[in-house]
Amino acid sequence: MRRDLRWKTWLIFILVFCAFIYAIVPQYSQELRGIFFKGQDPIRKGLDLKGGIEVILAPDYRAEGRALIQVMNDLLKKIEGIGVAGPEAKLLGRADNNRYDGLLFTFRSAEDANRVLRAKVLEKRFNWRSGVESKELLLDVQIDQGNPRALQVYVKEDPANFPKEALYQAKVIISNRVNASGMAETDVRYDEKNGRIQVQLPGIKSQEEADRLIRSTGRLNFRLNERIVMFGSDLKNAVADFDTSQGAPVIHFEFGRVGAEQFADITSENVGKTLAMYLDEEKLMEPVINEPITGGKGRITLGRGTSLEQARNYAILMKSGALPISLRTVQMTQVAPTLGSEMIRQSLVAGIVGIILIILFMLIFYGLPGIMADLALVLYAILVLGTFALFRGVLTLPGVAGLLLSIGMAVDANIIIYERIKDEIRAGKRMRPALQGGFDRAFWTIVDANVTILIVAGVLIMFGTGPVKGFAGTLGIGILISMFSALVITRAFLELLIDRNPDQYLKLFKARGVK
Amino acid sequence: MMNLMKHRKVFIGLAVLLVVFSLAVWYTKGLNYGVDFEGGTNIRFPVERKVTSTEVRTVLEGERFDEMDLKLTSPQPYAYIDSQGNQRHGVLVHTRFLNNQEQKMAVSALEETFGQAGTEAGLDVYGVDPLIGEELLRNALKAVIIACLLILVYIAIRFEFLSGVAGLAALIHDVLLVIGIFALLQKEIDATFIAALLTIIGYSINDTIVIFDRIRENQRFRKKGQSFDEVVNLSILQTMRRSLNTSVTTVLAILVLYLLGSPSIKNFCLAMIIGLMAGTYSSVFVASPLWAVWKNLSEKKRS
Repeated sequence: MRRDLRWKTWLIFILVFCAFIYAIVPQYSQELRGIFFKGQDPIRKGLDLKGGIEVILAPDYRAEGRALIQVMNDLLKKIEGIGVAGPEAKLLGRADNNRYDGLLFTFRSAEDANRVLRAKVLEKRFNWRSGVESKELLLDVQIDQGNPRALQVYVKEDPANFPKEALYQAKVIISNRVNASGMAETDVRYDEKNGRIQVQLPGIKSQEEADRLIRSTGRLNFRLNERIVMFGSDLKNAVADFDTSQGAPVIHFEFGRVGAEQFADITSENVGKTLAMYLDEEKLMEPVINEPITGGKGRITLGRGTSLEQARNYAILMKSGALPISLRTVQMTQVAPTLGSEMIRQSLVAGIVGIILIILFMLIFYGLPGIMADLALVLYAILVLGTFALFRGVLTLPGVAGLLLSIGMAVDANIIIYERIKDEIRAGKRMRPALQGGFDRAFWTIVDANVTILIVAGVLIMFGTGPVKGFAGTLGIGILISMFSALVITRAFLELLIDRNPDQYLKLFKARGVK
Repeated sequence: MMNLMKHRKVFIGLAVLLVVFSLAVWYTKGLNYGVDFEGGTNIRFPVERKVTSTEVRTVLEGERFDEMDLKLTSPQPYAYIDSQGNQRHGVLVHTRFLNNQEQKMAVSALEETFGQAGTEAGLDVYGVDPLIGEELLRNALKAVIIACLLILVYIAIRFEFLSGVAGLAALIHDVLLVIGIFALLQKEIDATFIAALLTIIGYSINDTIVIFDRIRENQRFRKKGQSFDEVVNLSILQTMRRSLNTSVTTVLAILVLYLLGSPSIKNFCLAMIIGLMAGTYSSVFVASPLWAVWKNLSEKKRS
């Protein structure tokens, strides 16, 4: 046997053996799983295969009802200013967390509506201020398609104005909270480009559970006379306790330096008044300020009727309210775990049947060399799984489709090579040079053809989202390894096959027209 | 030797006809955008027994939903046999994008009437804010266009500019045909459909490149007096077996996935099957003849 062929074959087998031990054996061995993957699955499964909840959060650009009413009054004044009779005004959309989509003005006539629209008194950007709050709203004014007398003023998301810093902080806080829950394989990501936070909670069973972790993501705020005077972003800690001397639960809280100063100012100036505590628009407590709290540390004594558990909940909500920004869900996927495992079974069956069909096809069309290609295909599958486990990729349903397609490409490369070898034999070459020539001539065809698919996969990874990305990832890995499989593994096997007495295999290639 | 190039007008004509047909269907019937692109919430609610669309509709149009205006489209009951051989039923409810509370209301209304769905039974919810939908569609379009341009550049570098243009024409044919058929059948267009389109682009260009590669090679050994038509004809015939074998194996693999796979992957497979067949046709009968036609024209101009 040629020496280079010998070490090449060894190398292939060692590689495949490693991939097998690394990615496949741990599926059945708890011990190896512990060593390689900290006890997790070698091939991580995506939400669609495993079940669970994924939520994508975005900054809530919509305005609170109380803010919108002030905006409404301002706008009404402007409308009056150009001499149009006062329209009927109301909040637009459905209350979600007390926030609305915008405003609806219904005028006396379509003409009035048009006049206001043309006069551009409802400006695109609207700055609104109240207490420590300020908002820069991006407004979109349009005529209601169902009623020409009405103008809809939508509050729009403003990508130029993403609160990047706050979003990043929010991501960190959510990720801490999710990690603290002790759930396995959770994932919290921040997509800076689009200003989104993606939270994956695999294995979670109900919406309520997910809610507890990520939905209580409000913004804690303190209000005097219904006006926000301070945000709770700098709250360091809040713990519930039972004060036996008073016979009631208490909450101890602590601010950071900035928060402590602010809080000291507010409490010194407003002794005796009620300082209401809100999470977004939801009222939590209404404690009365008994004395100035200057050191940043304070306590709230709750009423006698309050249970300790209730107090604990308040404390948790206060802490969870330390998010520097209000978020809302823009995309929600909930997959039942049973559905996930059903998918796995189905795609396994589909995959196995597909592979058997391909193996049969190669066998019938190319005989013994076809079996060599089939063997290369099996090794290819092991290598793909190994690579996948190595990169800790997440396998999703579209990912499975990507894998199947890359198997198709691996077969294609083999077909190209075999047809080339046949051509060479037809041209009168003997076995060894025909093999050599076939692979040489197929090389650039295969590279050119595969590079284009890699380009597509690359574009998908860059611009795709969720499912599309999973698909592109497996397709890309699959294509790279399929090239290796066809050009190196199949070749080594064929060379081994014909190593002794090559020309007796000429007829195996069934090249028609050979004289 | 068979002379395929003799019929090239028929081949290209057929492709043009298909493209025009697709555009016409697209224009008249429009596309059925899914939740991914239009925004909305899909609830797959499992039920014990068969239910009718009207039954479900009545539940979700009850009094308590009056204020909400769910924008409910006709609920679609579905049935499938799971991998353990049990018959299962469910109903797909499509509404506008629901926030958390609204979603809870809808699900519990369904539960009151049809029994606890529970997580074990396989409740499946997918909601996308219309805002995100626009974003996804924009990104998808960007991805398709960028992929096409990069492929054009790659072919122009590795082969020649005309090859790139001919290949791109074939790609446009494939993509439009798939879109046309999806418009005709009013199948849902979602994110995985875009993935299917991009894979089809990859595959089709792969087919085209294998033939162009042959043409490049045969051109090098071109005998005097051999026309471009003859070169192309020879190259097509030489690669025909590979083109057919590859298409058949790939279509087989996907057909299996289509027949055995879960409902969520069916559309993807359908798009792939149409696209692969269109891609094989266009590589052989559109891209290569087009290249020969253009090549002849530019040759004539020169002389």
